Amino acid sequence: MKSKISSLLALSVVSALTLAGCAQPGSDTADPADPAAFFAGKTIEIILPFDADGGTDITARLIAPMLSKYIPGNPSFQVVNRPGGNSILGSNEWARDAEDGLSLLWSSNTTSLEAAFGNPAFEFDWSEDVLPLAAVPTGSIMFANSTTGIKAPQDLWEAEGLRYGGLSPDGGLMVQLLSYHILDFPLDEVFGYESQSATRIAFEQGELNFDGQSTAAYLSSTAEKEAAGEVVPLYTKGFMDDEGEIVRDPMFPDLMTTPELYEAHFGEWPSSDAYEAYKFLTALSSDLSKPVWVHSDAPQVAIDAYRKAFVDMAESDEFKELVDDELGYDLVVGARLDEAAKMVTDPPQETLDWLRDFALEEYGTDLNR
Amino acid sequence: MIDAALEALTFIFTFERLAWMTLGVLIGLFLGVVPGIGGAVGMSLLIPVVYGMDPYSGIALMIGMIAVMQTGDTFTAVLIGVPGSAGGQATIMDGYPMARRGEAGRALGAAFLASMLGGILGAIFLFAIIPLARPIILSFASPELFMMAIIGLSLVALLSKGAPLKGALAGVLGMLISTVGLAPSTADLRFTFDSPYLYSGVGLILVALGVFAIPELVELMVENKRIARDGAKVTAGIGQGMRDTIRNWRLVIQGSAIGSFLGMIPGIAGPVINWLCYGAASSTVRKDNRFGQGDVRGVIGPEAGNNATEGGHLVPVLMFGIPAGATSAILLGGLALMGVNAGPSMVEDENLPITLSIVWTLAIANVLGTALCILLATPISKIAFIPARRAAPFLIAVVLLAAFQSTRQWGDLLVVMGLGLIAFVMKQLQWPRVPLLVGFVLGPAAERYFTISTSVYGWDWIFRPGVLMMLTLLVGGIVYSALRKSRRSRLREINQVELGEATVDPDTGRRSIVNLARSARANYSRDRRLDPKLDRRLESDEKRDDLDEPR
Repeated sequence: MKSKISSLLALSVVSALTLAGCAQPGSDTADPADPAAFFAGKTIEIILPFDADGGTDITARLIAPMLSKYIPGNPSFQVVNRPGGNSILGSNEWARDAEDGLSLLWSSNTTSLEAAFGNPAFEFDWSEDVLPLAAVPTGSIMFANSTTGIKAPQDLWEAEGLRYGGLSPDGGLMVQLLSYHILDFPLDEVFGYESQSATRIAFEQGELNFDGQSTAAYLSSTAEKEAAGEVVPLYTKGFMDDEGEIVRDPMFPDLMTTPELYEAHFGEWPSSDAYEAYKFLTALSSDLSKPVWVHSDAPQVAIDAYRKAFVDMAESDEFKELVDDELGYDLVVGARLDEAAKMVTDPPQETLDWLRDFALEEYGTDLNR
Repeated sequence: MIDAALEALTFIFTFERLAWMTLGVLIGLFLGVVPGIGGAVGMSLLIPVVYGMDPYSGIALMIGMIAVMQTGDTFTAVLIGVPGSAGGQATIMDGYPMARRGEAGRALGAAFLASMLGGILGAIFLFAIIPLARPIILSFASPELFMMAIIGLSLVALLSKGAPLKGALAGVLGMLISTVGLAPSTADLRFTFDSPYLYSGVGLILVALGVFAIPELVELMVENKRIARDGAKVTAGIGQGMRDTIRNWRLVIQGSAIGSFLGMIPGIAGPVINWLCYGAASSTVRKDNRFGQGDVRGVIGPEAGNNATEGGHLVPVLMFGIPAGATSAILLGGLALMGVNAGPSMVEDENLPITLSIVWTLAIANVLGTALCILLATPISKIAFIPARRAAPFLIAVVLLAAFQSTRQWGDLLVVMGLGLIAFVMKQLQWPRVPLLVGFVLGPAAERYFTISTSVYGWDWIFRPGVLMMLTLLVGGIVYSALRKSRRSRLREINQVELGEATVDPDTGRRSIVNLARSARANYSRDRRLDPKLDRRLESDEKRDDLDEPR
């Protein structure tokens, strides 16, 4: 019996050593500084920490095959869904073996918000272990049913019986709710709808008459109703510029943003804590809507190649065509990306505290869990 | 419109598009046969392929896949009692007992023909409803959806087979399990015990696998027999099953009507419709209703329904651009990539050929898919011949893999085993398990639509005409069945007095004793001593086991 145990021990020591040997970098004979040698014949996994259900999934699956030709060695890309735990579990799984530089994380603003609030379930450190590569931005637009009598944005404060319906008042919805809070027009908020589809049906039925949608959703279905005069567009969430100020949405250049509308009604630019929180959430949900991350311990040659690939791809005709057809917005790369990504990797603590109190008091939502 | 329909048909009948459709059908069948992989995964793999395709070819590919996903899953449901997809659970109720009786072929034949007819009727429905869809969909607001959920929950009584209290408790247990995770209308976490795995709740496929597959497999191993106790007819009955379907054409029409109509309404999920079809079939069949024990009519109703549902699902997708689920959300994305923007303009002249080609694809793909399934039925159904000790380990691996597919976290396996244990105990104690699943599916819907209804309409929602109509239907149904039951039990009392029978049903009572004794071998010998009659019965059972055992 004893000899069995000791031979088992010996075996495990040997296999542990062998495995450790495999993990040693530089066992490749090729030049470590040559990206083509690093990537040749490899398959890069893109981990999506949520289900295949549209949105980010479609975007990632469209972009991934294009990336290959902008990376030396032309590795192939494989998109893998790892749903669960509000996108935390998939992120953890990615981080566990992302140091080889052969897997990327394509997260969403849900993940970013959990990261900014420091959810302890993450097994890695967002301030040290990740580097942003690019982000697919998304705008959103608020509108009302014309039956409310609203004809222009300034009519919002005179309208009666405005009702908005959403899913649960969690982090993802907070930026929209905050815009209602800042503008402070009379609005009834109902939660519990199953999906965006359900709120759209309820809007058609008249159960709801005020809504906000992402640019893609608005253009594919609601824009038709705007043309028919059934829907009145009111304002957009906006984007953050290089100086950290909110600017107009390039897809809706004629519509005011939340702070502009505030100024038009109240006569001054907003300057409250609420507005600071709004800017923070706008960076997370507009500019950084669907960010791609690489592990910071990945080989430098790989990190540089990825960053360059996203920049090159963003400028290609093929990608511009995809932007026109489907995405609507250019890829966020370079300085603007680094600025926005700080909101995740180094979030403003005071704003987080204010936001946590706001969500808890107004909606009973604990953002800090 | 007929002219336009014929014109659309000529668009489809090109070699290239038929080839794409065939590919779609093959993918769809594969996704159906392999448990745990839903349509959404298949659709998302097609997205890069359809980008830049011409719309008719892309539609042939995507709709071809969607059309038959509910056909392929019949194999696993009937042959091994494992749900192939979330929408195909009701087929297990009677399909699997039929397979155990050795009538797998008959069950498959009936199911496939019913699927095909359901799919075609669903396509016809889609064609006919196009001008009327808008007002119908818009008449189902939150209060009406709440009532639909309540009607669905009332099925629990129907599906619990003479044990309403146990059924209700199982239903409540299902609802309780459904509350795990983020609450629907607040951002509260419920029963998550600080485990991130539980944030998004327990997946439907895990509940379905745990509740149906695990107890059956354990039992199969305990008995150590083949799935088909009587092997003679396993592959022979396909024709007979198809004749069964034709004979029960009323059930096919009923199932398709329920499936396509309810499928049209966003907010009523596929699995709910599946059980509603089963419940409806069970309550319309009067003559020797043996639903739940291997009645072929229990296969026909839901199978016709679930293929028709796909036709219904497409109505809101095409007319409003509003997806009914993950699969149709990705379909919408795919259509947009090909320049087709779903919405009211789909019925205007310039888009009509596209809409009609979708209808045609749905019908043709159903015929194609069924033909393939019938060809495959004979070889595949031989799985029921394999002795349990060889088949069961493989099947357990399949079930666990299917469970692991849902999020690929270890928690999936723990959840499916935990639920399997609960379900195993329930089965041994003869508690109905279906209500658990129905409660699980409908619990969140009931909660969410109740919250919305009261916060939007106060209590006025009760007086909406649609709600009153459904309420009348519900109360009427309950009163009617209660009256019928009390008449029947009075009859039974008279019989019992005359025959001097014990109140326990002799057949089921015996079965439960046998099962319990088998699973708890420790009590076995004591029971023997205590009840000499049981001893003799067990012995005769064991002898039969020995005969069945292939050596």
